[in-house]
Amino acid sequence: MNWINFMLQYWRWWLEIAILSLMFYGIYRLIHGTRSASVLGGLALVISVLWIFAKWLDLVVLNQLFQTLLTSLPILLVVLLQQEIRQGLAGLSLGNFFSRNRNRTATIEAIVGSVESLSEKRMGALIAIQHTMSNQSVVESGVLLNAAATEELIETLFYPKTPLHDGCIWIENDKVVAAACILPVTQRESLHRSLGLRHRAALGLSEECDAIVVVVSEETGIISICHKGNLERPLNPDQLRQRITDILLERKNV
Amino acid sequence: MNASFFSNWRAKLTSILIAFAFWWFLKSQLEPNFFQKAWQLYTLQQLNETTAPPAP
Repeated sequence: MNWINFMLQYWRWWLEIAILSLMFYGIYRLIHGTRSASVLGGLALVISVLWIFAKWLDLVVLNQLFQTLLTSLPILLVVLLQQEIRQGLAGLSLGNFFSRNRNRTATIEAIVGSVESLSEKRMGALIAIQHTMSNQSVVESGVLLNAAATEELIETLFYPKTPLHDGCIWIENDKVVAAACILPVTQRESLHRSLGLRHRAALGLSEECDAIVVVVSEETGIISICHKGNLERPLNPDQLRQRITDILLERKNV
Repeated sequence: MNASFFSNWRAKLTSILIAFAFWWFLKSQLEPNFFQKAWQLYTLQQLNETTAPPAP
């Protein structure tokens, strides 16, 4: 009982630990599955091991160096996690809060319908759906359209031998904003050899922002979805519809 | 209780453990031997309470 009373008396400690836990979990949610996560994890491991080593052997100079590093740690984190911080702040913005639950059913149906048709016809497709964060560099790399996102338009845009079929289309606020956009390719080396450039580009974009990227394989017609650096495949049209709806309306663990 | 409360429990548990270790590290940098001092203070308080003379 003594222990419990003691811990209750120092309730501020628990409050501090709880707030820190929330902060760490928030950071984990932000960086999970991104390229920065592995860089940060490796860096934290190396610094921790070296620091314990320096403390243990009482290496004064190394200890001093780590003390200095600790003071510049916030700046280092901001530089390393700039993409994720931007993404997190975009998710907090008031505009997104009010627009988040807007009815997007018609657009989702248009996307799923066109993807189903493209998959049956074995036509490759790459569709990025903006979530909370814009990616102006990708939009500007393509041809601006600003047209309503309909099933017919999306299917037509990926018709082979047309000028706009190569690249990604960017859907924002129920409109096809741009077509033939160029996406950044992921640097991950652990991907299966069967995944071509289209899938790598989809993963690359999903690592940079929180857009949902739908891919239709030209060779197999397999439908995939990429979000926050995760690739899910194969999906049938119903699963695709469910997944997009879940992410856009944030109903499940996304 | 929401079922999602327990989802991703490994990440949540790791966050709590890291937060605890981090807090302990920072606290001991600010106040060396903070835990021992707090415990001593607490036992002294308890001792005073049990041996205090009865109120007149």
